[in-house]
Amino acid sequence: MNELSMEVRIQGQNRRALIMKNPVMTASGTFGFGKEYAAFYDLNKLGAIAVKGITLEPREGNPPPRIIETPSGILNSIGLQNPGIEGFVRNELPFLRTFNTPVIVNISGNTIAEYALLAEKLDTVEGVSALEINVSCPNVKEGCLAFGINKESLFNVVKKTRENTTLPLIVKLSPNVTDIVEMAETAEQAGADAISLVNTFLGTAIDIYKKKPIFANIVGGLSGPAIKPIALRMVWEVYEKVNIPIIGMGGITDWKDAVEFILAGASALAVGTANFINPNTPLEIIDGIQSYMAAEGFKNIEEMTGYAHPPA
Amino acid sequence: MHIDTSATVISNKKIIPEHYKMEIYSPQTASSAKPGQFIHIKTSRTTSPLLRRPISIYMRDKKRGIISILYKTVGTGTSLLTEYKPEDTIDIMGPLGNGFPLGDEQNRIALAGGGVGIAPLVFLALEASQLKKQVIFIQGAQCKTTLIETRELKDAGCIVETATDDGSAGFHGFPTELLKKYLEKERIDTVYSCGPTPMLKTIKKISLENKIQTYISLEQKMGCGIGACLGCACRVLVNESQGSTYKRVCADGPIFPAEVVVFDE
Ligand SMILES: Cc1cc2nc3c(=O)[nH]c(=O)nc-3n(C[C@H](O)[C@H](O)[C@H](O)COP(=O)(O)OP(=O)(O)OC[C@H]3O[C@@H](n4cnc5c(N)ncnc54)[C@H](O)[C@@H]3O)c2cc1C
Ligand SMILES: Cc1cc2nc3c(=O)[nH]c(=O)nc-3n(C[C@H](O)[C@H](O)[C@H](O)COP(=O)(O)O)c2cc1C
Ligand code: FES
Repeated sequence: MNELSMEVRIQGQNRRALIMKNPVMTASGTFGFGKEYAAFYDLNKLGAIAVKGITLEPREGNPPPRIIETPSGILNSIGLQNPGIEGFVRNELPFLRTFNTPVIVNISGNTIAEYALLAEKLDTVEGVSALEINVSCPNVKEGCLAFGINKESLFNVVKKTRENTTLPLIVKLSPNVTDIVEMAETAEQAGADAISLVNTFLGTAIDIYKKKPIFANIVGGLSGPAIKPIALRMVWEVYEKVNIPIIGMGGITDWKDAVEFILAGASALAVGTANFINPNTPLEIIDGIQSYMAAEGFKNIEEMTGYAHPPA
Repeated sequence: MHIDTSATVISNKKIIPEHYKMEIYSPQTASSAKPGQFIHIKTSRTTSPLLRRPISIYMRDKKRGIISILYKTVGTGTSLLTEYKPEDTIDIMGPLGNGFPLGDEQNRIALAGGGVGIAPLVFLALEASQLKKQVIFIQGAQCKTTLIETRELKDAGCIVETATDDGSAGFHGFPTELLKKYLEKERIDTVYSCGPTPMLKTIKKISLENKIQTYISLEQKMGCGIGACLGCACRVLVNESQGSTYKRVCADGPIFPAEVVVFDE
């Protein structure tokens, strides 16, 4: 048993690294800033915590309704409600610092300059272990299409953010693209240290009596078990072509889902929507992976990562 | 707040058309529950429906470790609840939310509930009576057949009034009209209300006109139910200078002072 290690390392620059005691983290936007879930279990047990998406200025978010349930999934249109970087560092980070669990700050901007500024401001903040850039936000300067759906804007936003931080830099890709592999390769070339796959899939729902979309914003992001097979396929494809580590997510609900993602090529994984249904999901997954490793003779996560792919 | 995956159903009975009362054995929930709080129920063992459903605590029996809920079948989740049988386990999270503020003065309070919205008010009325408050409980329903039996309240010394939309029982009209009549003829210190949104809007108006402290229980579609996902936003006034902001119905509410709630978005 002694030899079994669940540790995962994501290397940044200047010898900075994200070191996780196990591969299980919580997905941005589904875990607030940790406080609520601390009432259920000891946050020290988690591999890492990705906090709610942060912007330069506070944002009040979209009008309700913000959540619509769909078959085995949910659509959300929260609208990035967050206290802004200052509010986050002042009011939320001190609590998270009391745990021995790395904090990944998920950042969003309207322009490339905003991403760069966020990266610069967070680079030396105590208690921040990595940055995760959310490229699913609209690029306000260039037609409001998400940064993550165009190779060129993706390259530019990752490169500029890279230039402004030595923290391990994770790029969270939007799955709303024709070729996810191309996007992952672009992120790698622009200097990403890891890739998270996937953010939510765009969807919508109509109120059949009011005869109009339920969300004020018309569209929302689909998450939960409904998206798992697609997310898993994307991890599989990206693993074949990209060398940096992949953090897999999308509908992970139990340890078996998690193992599938690791075997498909993920070095770590995030639990999102499943937290809403069972707050203890991340812990149950950690235990489940550990038992699986012991039973199947895996000694570490690296050995398991991508194991389902045919040998090169 | 805790998760009780092994709470047990004691009984689950239809009391009037489309309305059920379920008793659940969950000592931890029963001992810490406050009126106005809710439990978040996993109605299905599968991913359909995926999310939990928020349901108010209707009554509780600390000694026996039992809470009850009163629910109306409106869709998939609430229909699945009707299938639970005594001794089945049920996965609940709670108690959640802030609950009604209830000072310990021996004063007079009026509670106005519409439809299944009377659920949290029954719990409130029973607790308030124990604190020796004089409780006026106004139940509104569409008609006689959808009135919910409130013997417990009468036994506890509450003044119980009913209003039906069609006049088939009690006062002919909305519970809000009956509340207004009460406020005209006697001193009431605080008003509490839960019910459909149009009713809550009227309650807010009455509260402002009469300058009377009023608390209302809001509803919103919920994700986590514990304050983490920001899915259950409602607009609330902060103060004159700061204007309004979004608050979480699940964690900052579901109970809010009526005067701060901004309706109509
Ligand atoms: C704090 C709180 C406390 C509550 N307490 C109680 C309580 O004590 N008792 C109680 O009975 N309820 C209570 N509720 C309400 C209860 O949570 C809901 O009734 C329940 O979640 C409905 O779940 P469902 O799966 O049965 O309905 P769903 O299947 O989710 O559907 C709900 C309604 O939406 C309609 N709908 C769905 N899709 C569309 C569409 N595309 N266009 C138009 N309409 C659509 C359905 O027809 C249905 O009428 C409370 C809610 C909150 C927030
Ligand atoms: C309510 C909600 C809010 C989210 N907010 C963010 C966010 O702020 N930033 C981000 O990068 N992803 C956000 N996501 C996406 C999740 O982090 C995750 O990528 C996605 O939900 C897929 O995982 P899941 O199916 O396990 O939930 C959000 C998801 C949900 C459901
Ligand atoms: S339901 Fe998640 S914050 Fe209220």
